[in-house]
Amino acid sequence: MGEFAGVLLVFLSCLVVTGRCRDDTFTEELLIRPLTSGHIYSHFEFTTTWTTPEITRSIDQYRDFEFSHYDLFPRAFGEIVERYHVRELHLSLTQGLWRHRKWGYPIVDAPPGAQLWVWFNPTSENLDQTWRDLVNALSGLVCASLNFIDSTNTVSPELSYRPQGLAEEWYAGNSSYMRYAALPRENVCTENLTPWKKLLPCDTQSGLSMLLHPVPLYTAHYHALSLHLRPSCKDVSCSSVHLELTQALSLVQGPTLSSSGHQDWSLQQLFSTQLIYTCPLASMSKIYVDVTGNRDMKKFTLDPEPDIFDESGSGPSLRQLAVYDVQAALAGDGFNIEATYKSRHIYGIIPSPHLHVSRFITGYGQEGGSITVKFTNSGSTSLSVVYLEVLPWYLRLFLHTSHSYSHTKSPVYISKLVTARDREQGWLYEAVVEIPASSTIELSLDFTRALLKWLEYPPDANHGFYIPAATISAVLPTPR
Amino acid sequence: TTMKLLVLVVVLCVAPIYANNVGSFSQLLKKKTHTNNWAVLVDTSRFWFNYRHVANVLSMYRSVKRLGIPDSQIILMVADDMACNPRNPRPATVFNNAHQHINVYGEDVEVDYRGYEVTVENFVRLLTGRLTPSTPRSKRLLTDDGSNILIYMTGHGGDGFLKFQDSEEITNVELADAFEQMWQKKRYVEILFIIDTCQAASMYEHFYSPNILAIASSLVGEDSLSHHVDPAIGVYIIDRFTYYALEFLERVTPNSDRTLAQFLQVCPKRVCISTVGVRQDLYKRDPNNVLVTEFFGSVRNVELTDHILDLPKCGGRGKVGLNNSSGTILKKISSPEKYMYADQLPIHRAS
Repeated sequence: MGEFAGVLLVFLSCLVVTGRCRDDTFTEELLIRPLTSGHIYSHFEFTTTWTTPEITRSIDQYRDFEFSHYDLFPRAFGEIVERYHVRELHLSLTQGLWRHRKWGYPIVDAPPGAQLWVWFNPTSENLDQTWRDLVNALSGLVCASLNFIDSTNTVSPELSYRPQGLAEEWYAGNSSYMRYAALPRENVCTENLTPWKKLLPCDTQSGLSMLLHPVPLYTAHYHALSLHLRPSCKDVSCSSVHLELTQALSLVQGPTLSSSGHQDWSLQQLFSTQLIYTCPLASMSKIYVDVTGNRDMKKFTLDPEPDIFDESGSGPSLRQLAVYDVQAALAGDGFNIEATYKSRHIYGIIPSPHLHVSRFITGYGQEGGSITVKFTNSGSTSLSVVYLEVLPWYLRLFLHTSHSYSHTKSPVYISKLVTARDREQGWLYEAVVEIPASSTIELSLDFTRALLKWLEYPPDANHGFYIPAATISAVLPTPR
Repeated sequence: TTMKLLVLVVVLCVAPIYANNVGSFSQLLKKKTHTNNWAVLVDTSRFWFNYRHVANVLSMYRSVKRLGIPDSQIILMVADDMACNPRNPRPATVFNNAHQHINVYGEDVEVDYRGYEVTVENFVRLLTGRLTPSTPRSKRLLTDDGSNILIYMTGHGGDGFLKFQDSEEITNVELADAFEQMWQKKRYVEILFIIDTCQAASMYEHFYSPNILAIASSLVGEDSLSHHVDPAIGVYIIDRFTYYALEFLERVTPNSDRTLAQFLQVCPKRVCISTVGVRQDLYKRDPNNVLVTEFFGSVRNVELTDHILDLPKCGGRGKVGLNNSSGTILKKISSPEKYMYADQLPIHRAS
């Protein structure tokens, strides 16, 4: 009886002090960055975190999650995570190609089409069968044809796609726990946005998700929807952990086309709506505008005035953000941020990022060709990158032809190679490439196409065949 | 008092539907033959010049959703993506009318089978329920012996077949057999089968299962024609039968008393040019007595009960549904000394 009173006292005091005692939190953020190419890059991040003793235990012991009393965390997604031994999951659906050369680096990078990579818990069950069941369940969740992922397009790379969440060395070094697959032909449209929005606690009624109307989103040059689930530290000290679900949406739109050559933009213009209601379930709701290079409002002015300015980094990695607290700002009618440029946009030379890569097919006709990759390192130190290529089985690669052209003969070290088997397994080619400072390296892989049976062609074979994007993993010396 | 509250809530939910007949409420319940509604809407055509077939199926989707059938009970199969197609000058929209009156794609669409998934095998497996165990719920037709199903198909057809994506066909015999399997397994009460293709009447020739009412947009030997071209898009954007059907359905509300007999007259020969074919011999009821909303809308039938249910007390300590295995079976929780993130570029491992 006494301990019951004690628990009640703690419970009541908790209520009084913090307003609500929650295991989970929800935050929403929007970053708007005007690019030097004249486009506007918008990046939404909706983050739901969840901490319970059961979740902490599952993270510590690498066991399956056991969720109960769902509140802000979406139940439709949680049940899939529980059932299929998922520890970390990253799913992205993208339309368009991110142009690293012109736009720099995105916050979350994604190839065109669908990409799914998952780290599973160590389990005695057959992970290939679990992977097959998981992709079927996810295809129903996001209304995409992810069920076409099978053994012919699934790989387990050795050095790429390391866990982004908490992972000890014995786990992170064993890539048999992870699976990666990409479907380049997958398209994104409103039917993928609809279930994705329904995973958000406030749906489309209030908060930053009010801005997500399909027509401006799909008229963009680049559009990427993604879901990221990972166990991570709650704070910098990392004394406790939580499960973090991040739903991100990246957009690149071009406003200079509309208003007389000025790169003017506003929330109304970008998303065809203003913010009217704030999400009551969000503990933080902020909009950041990247004002690096706009000291003293020389290039453009922002209306209304930002609440505070946040500065980080120095030198080439300096970044300044103008921060708006949406929950404080939404007192009356709609909230709209407008940026007005003083002069017309000049299409000048855009400084190239530290590392950029170009990949293309050479050759002509249907019989064969070669896949060529050009790495350009414009920095002052040499870079070691991991290059991952996942190819379908019907491209018969000639590995003896993989050359590299550069002034200095830098070796290419193949870290993992899985040769294809007809109709069963695709190619995995993973190599460590060292790129000297201020130079360009070219790698090429010759191939010839296998003859397919007539039923193996898709109904629209006139399109040709889509090859998944290659992945380059690198750690850059400067954070920019 | 909780029981009385439950009855009150139930009556309040059902009252708007039967606003006019509050008195004969229980009689109405007895007359109803079905308890839930499902819709299977299939577009079988791929490529930009078949835009109109996608607009057809989305018009039906829009009507059915507006009249109350929830997304969880609609199976929408669209073989190609028109809304986000690079050739669409108005992305994320599909219009049924050159003057852009209605965006039938909407902001809330959920497509269950899309692109290459729309095949004859998937369609027949969906109808008969013979799906792999890992098929998600949104891709299953979970009907029972109290379901009314609306099945709408559109695409390119011929005498006795319907073409799927330019690479395969379903014949009228296969379709009839699929329906018979559904009848044997008691997967429907009544089916309304609508087909909008050329020579559509051939598809219902071989049906032999009871309680199917079939409507075809043209008879054998006739072509179904499309309505009009949108010069901005460059292709025909809707077929005649579906255009007039949509016009009719836009004026139907969830508590409307329009009958199926009126729906059968929706496209007379002077506007449709082809003759609408109807097969009624397998359907026992008189279409004059069947409401349109019995197939296009959703019935939420409620059974009033007057015996008391004991609901368990809620809010007790301990989690609901979790195996109470904490403490005895598991070993003591040992959190790691220090949590760490993985090395993102473990190149040292390679050399």
